[in-house]
Amino acid sequence: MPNASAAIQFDYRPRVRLVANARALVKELCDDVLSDPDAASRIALTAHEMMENVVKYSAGGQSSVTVELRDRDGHAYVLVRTKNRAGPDQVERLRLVFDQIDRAADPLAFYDEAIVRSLKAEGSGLGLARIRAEAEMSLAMSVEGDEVTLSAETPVHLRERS
Amino acid sequence: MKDFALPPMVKDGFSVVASATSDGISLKVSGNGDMETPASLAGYLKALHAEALRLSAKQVVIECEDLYFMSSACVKCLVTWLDGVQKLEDPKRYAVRFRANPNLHWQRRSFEALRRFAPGIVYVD
Repeated sequence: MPNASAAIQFDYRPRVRLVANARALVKELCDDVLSDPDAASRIALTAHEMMENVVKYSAGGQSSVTVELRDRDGHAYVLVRTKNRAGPDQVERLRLVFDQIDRAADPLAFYDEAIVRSLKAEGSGLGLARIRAEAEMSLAMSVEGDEVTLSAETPVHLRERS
Repeated sequence: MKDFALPPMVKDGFSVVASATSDGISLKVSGNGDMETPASLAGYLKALHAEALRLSAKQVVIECEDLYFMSSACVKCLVTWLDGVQKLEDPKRYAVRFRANPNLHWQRRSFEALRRFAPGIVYVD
């Protein structure tokens, strides 16, 4: 297997305009490194949704998004990770969404329910449900002080280089 | 055919251009829809819905050849529109047909989710 170790990181003040540009760059890099264009599309979708989350809910200051190619036990994975500051209400909202995600065994059914919920409520976790179902990523959240870290990971296959 | 009255929507790298067809309306959606797009898109879809009803449209076809990305904020707009179509009485209800670009892999996954939300209304080509 080719060496699976690389990362790109953007440190930014959350702004909408940066999101589409960052997604396009992530897509281009993944297209170059991964053998499956669908995987590149899934990872780009993930980066976009996670960065929009940061723009929507960040409590200000600097944020970051990292896209990392990892090698674990001979298998390649891509990890997308965002870090940002968040207020207590936002942390609580995220905890609630992740509780629901952890309890929902079927990502597709959970996404379909989130779509219905989105008709009635803002902040229904539609973006995260979409990442899990459409992008087929596993999701995790951690909080340290007022810093929230969201992580999304998927196994990938690397393009063979001659 | 009655006069068609739906001007295009062009907003920061995202556009929707509508035209009348023999059995309804065709939409060409292009560009990137992000979290700021719904401010315009929601109103546009309301106007589209009204126009589809006025024309007694049988279907709305959405051409997505150049639709590079739509975030969940835009998906939510489409869900709200489709919910309105779903709630119509049968003779007024119209089909919504997404013509996906097979090279833009996210499209099929996203449109399939919309089809699950509104079966019998949404079709994905």
